[in-house]
Amino acid sequence: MDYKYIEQLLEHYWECKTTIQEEQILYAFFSQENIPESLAQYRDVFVANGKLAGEHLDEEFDKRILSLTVETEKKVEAKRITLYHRMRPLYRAAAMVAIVLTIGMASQHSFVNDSTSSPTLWAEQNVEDPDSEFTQLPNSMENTSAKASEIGQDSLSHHPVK
Amino acid sequence: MDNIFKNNILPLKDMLFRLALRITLNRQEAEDVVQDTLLKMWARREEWGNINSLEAMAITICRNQALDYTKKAGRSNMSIDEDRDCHVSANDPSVQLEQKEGLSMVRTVIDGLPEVQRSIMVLREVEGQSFAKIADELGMNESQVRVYLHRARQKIKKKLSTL
Repeated sequence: MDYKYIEQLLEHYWECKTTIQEEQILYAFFSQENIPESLAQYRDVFVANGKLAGEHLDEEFDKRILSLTVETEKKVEAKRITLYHRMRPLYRAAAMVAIVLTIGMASQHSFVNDSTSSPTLWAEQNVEDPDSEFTQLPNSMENTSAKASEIGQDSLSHHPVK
Repeated sequence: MDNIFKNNILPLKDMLFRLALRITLNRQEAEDVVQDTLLKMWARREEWGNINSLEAMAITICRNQALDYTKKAGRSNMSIDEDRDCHVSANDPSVQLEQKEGLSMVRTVIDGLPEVQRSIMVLREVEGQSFAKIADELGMNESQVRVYLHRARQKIKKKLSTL
């Protein structure tokens, strides 16, 4: 068998003058089992590169990469929060402030010794006999209305109707 | 973004793995390099629109990552298949041994080449890429690629002729 063509290709290969197609011919030739002795010494170059061409990563690698990239972003997108949820901490803070202020004001009132702050306390301190105060109430109301009618008549007499 | 990553970048993983394997000479490290490369590509997804070749970008990141791993490990020459049997077809044990030795020697020579020559060899010999594409991916011109590959092949040829 004539291997001149292969020898010629090999010469071009070492000089980097081969095309990709010609190099594929060389790879195909040296992947055969029966190589002539004169060319056998070059076989290992093509076998070594051919072996590397068979190396690849498995599907588990793809899954791992996708879980660290594309799928992570999708998960983040799925947890999109509304305005209400976004403002929820603010509402909570406002509620806490309101509660603290209410409690603070209430405690301040209870500790200050001010008689006017509580109507019940004022009544206890100023009304000695509640029953007599109650019976005097109609009389004081009558006096008030009589005084009002007098004032009304005086004002009419100052401005007679023409 | 998702589709570009799944259809254009993730399929580069095997090519990147072979490239990283030739530089780091270690399978686990090569896998880590590819993972780091793809995660870096994803992190820079906002730049994809402004980049001419995603493949060139991935190759550049991969080479840099692989060189970092090699420097950290503090080693340069070790066979990528030292833990695996060589592919031999002859049945005669002496021929097998001879072929193993020859293959091992070729690997040692290739693994001892400068990184740029090894990378060019992978892209040309294993991935079957044109000189123009390799030049574009590695940021050099075609004649530089030819010179580097020529040096690499001549070194291997010289070594083989001494056997």
